[in-house]
Amino acid sequence: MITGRGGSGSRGRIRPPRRPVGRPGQPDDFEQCWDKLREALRDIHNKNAGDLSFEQLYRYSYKIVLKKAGNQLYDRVKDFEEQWFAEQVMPPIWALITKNLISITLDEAPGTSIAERRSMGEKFLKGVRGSWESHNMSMNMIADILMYLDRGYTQDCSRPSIYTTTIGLFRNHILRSGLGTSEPQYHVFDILNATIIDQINMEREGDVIDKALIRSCISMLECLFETDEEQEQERLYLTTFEPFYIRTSHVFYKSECERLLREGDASAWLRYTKRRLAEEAGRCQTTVSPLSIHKIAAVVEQELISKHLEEFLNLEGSGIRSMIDNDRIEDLTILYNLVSRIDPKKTALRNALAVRVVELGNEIEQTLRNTDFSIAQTSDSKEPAGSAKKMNAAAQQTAAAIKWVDDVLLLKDKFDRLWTTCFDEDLTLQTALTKSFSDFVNSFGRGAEFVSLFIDDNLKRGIKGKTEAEVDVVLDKAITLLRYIGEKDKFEQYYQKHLARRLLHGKSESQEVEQEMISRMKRELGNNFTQKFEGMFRDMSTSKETTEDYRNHVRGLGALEHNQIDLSISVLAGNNWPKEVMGRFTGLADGPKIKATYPREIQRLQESFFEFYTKNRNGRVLTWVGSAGTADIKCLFPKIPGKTTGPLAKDRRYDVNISTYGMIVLLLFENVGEDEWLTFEEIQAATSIPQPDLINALTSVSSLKPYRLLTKKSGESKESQANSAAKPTDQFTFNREFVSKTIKLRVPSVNAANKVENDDERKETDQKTIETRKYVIDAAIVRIMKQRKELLHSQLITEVIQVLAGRFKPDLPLIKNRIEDLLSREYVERVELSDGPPAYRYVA
Amino acid sequence: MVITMNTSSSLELIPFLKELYLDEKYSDLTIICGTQSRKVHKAIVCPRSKFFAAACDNKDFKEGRTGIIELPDDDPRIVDLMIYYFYHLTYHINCPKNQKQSDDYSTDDYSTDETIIPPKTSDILTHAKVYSLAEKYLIEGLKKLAFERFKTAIETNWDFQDFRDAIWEVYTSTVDADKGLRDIIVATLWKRPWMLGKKEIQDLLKELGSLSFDLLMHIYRMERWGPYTTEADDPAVRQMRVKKY
Repeated sequence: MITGRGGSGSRGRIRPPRRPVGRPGQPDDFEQCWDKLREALRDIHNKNAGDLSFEQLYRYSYKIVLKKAGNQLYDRVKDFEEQWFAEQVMPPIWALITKNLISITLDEAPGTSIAERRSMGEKFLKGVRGSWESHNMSMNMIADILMYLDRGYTQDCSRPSIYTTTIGLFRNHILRSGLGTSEPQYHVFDILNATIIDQINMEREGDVIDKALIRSCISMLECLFETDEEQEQERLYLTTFEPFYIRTSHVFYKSECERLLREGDASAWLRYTKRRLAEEAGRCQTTVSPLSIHKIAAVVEQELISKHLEEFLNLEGSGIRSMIDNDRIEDLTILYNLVSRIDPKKTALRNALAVRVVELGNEIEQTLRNTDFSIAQTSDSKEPAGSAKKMNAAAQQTAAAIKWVDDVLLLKDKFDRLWTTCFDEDLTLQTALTKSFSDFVNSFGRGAEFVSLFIDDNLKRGIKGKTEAEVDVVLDKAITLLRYIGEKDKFEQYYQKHLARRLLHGKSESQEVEQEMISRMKRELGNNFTQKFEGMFRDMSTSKETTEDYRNHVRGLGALEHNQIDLSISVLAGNNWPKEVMGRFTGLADGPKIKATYPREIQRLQESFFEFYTKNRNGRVLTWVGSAGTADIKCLFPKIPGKTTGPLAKDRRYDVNISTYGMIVLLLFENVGEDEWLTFEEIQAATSIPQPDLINALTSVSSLKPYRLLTKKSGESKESQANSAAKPTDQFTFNREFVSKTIKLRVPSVNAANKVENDDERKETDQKTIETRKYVIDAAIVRIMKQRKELLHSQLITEVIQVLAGRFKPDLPLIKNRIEDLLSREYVERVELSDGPPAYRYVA
Repeated sequence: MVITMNTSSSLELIPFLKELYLDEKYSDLTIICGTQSRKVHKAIVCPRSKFFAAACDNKDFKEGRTGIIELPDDDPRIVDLMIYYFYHLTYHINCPKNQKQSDDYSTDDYSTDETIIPPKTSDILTHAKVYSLAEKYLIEGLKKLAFERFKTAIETNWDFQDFRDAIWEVYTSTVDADKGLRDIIVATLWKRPWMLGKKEIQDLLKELGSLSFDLLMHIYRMERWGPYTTEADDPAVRQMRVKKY
């Protein structure tokens, strides 16, 4: 062996052969090697390779390549394989393709049972699989022994590898061969595809098939390519089978969907579709190919979901409407999942939900309107029936308002629940739901008023005895509703009015909760929105201090009289409080102010307080608002002579709590003789109380039986009028025979309760809203113009709408009207642009 | 967190591999070459060589079934270098201190007068043989290593006879497309045109058409001859002479 060289000239190593070496590619050498290789190939195909030495065969091909005879070897192998294929592989396959099989798979010949078809198909597929698997295995072994051929020759000559070429035989000689003269347009491929599809469809119909068999045949198609280039996208599976698979699946699911439509059960459709989607995904893993998992899902999605989604949603009795109305959680969950698959925006579901929300919202409104209508009718037809009934009607209306709010909240709860449990808290859907709620709440013109009333009701009564957490829920609900309301300014007005009444009449259940409500509104809508409300609270607390101070002051004077009148005063800063509360006469349109004439005692008290109040606050003007206050009067009803038994036989003392105007009226009767009657006019003249307030005051003390401190009579029949409201034609006298079971009486003032406005009031409120809006728009325009100096008309409009969006949605004519007005008042001027769009400039 | 390399544990495999090389325990494959059979580990050998992988994987062939691979056509000394490489990622030729590997394969003829054989001065031929064996059995790492060592040997360990033998080896045991060693040989011939005056080289040029072709193409590209026109000019030859005498 070679370990070194000899010390002398004689080399102790094997020289590179000097003898003429067997020249590369010398025929003898090659033929010798090839003979051995050919024998080996045959043995391998015959599964008889056990005694072959891999090394030896490898060495033969290595030597051939080294001797530059690679191309000869390549061609020989190819020829050998083609011949082998033609003689040994193809005949058994052809034997399987019987006329029967052709007619079943391609012509769908009738009269063959499913079992027959299945077994025939399986036989064919098994034949193909067996032939493929043995061919593939042999070719793998052959490719291994010829590994050096691929490395040393094939690559350099850019010929397809031995494996590719020989495996391609299967494609060229089996799959692509025609069926002969009977069906010249078809290839074996068509039979294979049709057979596989037939099996898949059998499984879809519920039969059991040999999944592994199908999978083997499919994986054969995955291994084969269109050409020997072996482009990834040209797998036969992708180019030939898959399109056919997808096409036939379309057909299958199309007819399935039509059947489902005919059956008309959306719930069944949902479950069917869900099951099919899962099945197809599973089938791709076990039977067909993972490559198709998305495409086949798309087929089901398209055929079963997209194409007829609207129709299924609109199905009577099981469609989306019924799912929502009956809280079919599972249906809706599946529906959401299905719709999400085909449309990330979930348009169809979104629209259906939106429509249903608005419908249900309008139903609430409808119910309410019906209620409203019946009550209105009662009070119309029984106009003279008496004020008690009417009060009742008003209360009912208020109750209806609260019912509306409750219903809306219930609806909201319902959809919230669906949203969390079924819709995966989808943001798109949430936006749509919020918008729909907002839409119907705003289309219902009284939303703002009703929400305020709802809060009023809760703060007065509703939260009594509730835990903090429960109160929290109520407040949350209120804020939720508030969010829906577009006309925030209107709500502000109502809330101001209702809050004023609560504060002045001490109706509020909890100061803390009131404050909490305000601070939540503040968080939601900003500082500006709650400024007035906070001012009202401030006024109330300073007033408490002022009252205390005044009492101390009076005590300090030492002039304690026997019939000292205790004064509790609320000093209200004009801006924070609603005009109704501040007294009608302070209203802008009410002309000259009329001051009520107070009894002398009261006047003295007023003067005393005024003196005290202005001592530290120079220049303040105090206006006494008789309609907003209350008075506690001790009334003595002397015993009626001649009565010996019963309450009338004794003197009766009552503590009466009554509105300030009521007190003025009652005091008037102190000096009236026993059977003297005062007419309405006389009372009005004596007190100067504005007529509507006087009517209210008189009604409250003369109409309701438990509080009938005055007896009323009018020119018309007495009986029917006893309960009705006071009229300017009535006469009154002191009711000497007044009896009450309780010592303390609280005479309800007719208009003090917060309730639904009647049509006139609403008109008035709307008018006021528009008036206020005018100023707000004016201010917005001027602010914008001051900042921008010059602006196009359209831009100005856009900005105004933007700025005001938080408060209300101004309508265009109004804005235009305000611009005109500001032009005339020379806050802004037109900019003349030649043929340009209209624009304005700020006038400094 | 930064993973710091723990020196002791990161080197743990190296002594372990050396042990495996010496220890037949756990071996699952036998390579027979000449008179020698070596037990090796499929896990070490197969992932590095497609040839061995295919031989072991195909259970239908004799090798796959028996776990014995015979390499009757190869030089046992080179095969042993290859096996050594599998476990050590390098190979040593004629390591005087550790004669184990050459002992294993030395034949009776030479073992007796081993002492009188002077240490071999050039390994150019051996590297060329390792290179073609690595190519034959598709061992990329070994092929690269042999290439580098061949290149270095020509620069530092010159021996004309050895070089001439290596030319024959390279041009007969690798395919034309394998340009690795051929490029080095041609570049060397170009740099030392004096060699073309020698009959041995002229014989080779006559015999090996592709060598002549490669050389001409090289000259064509370089457009002139290399620097050492006569043997006496060649620093490598001078150096060798100093060493010899």
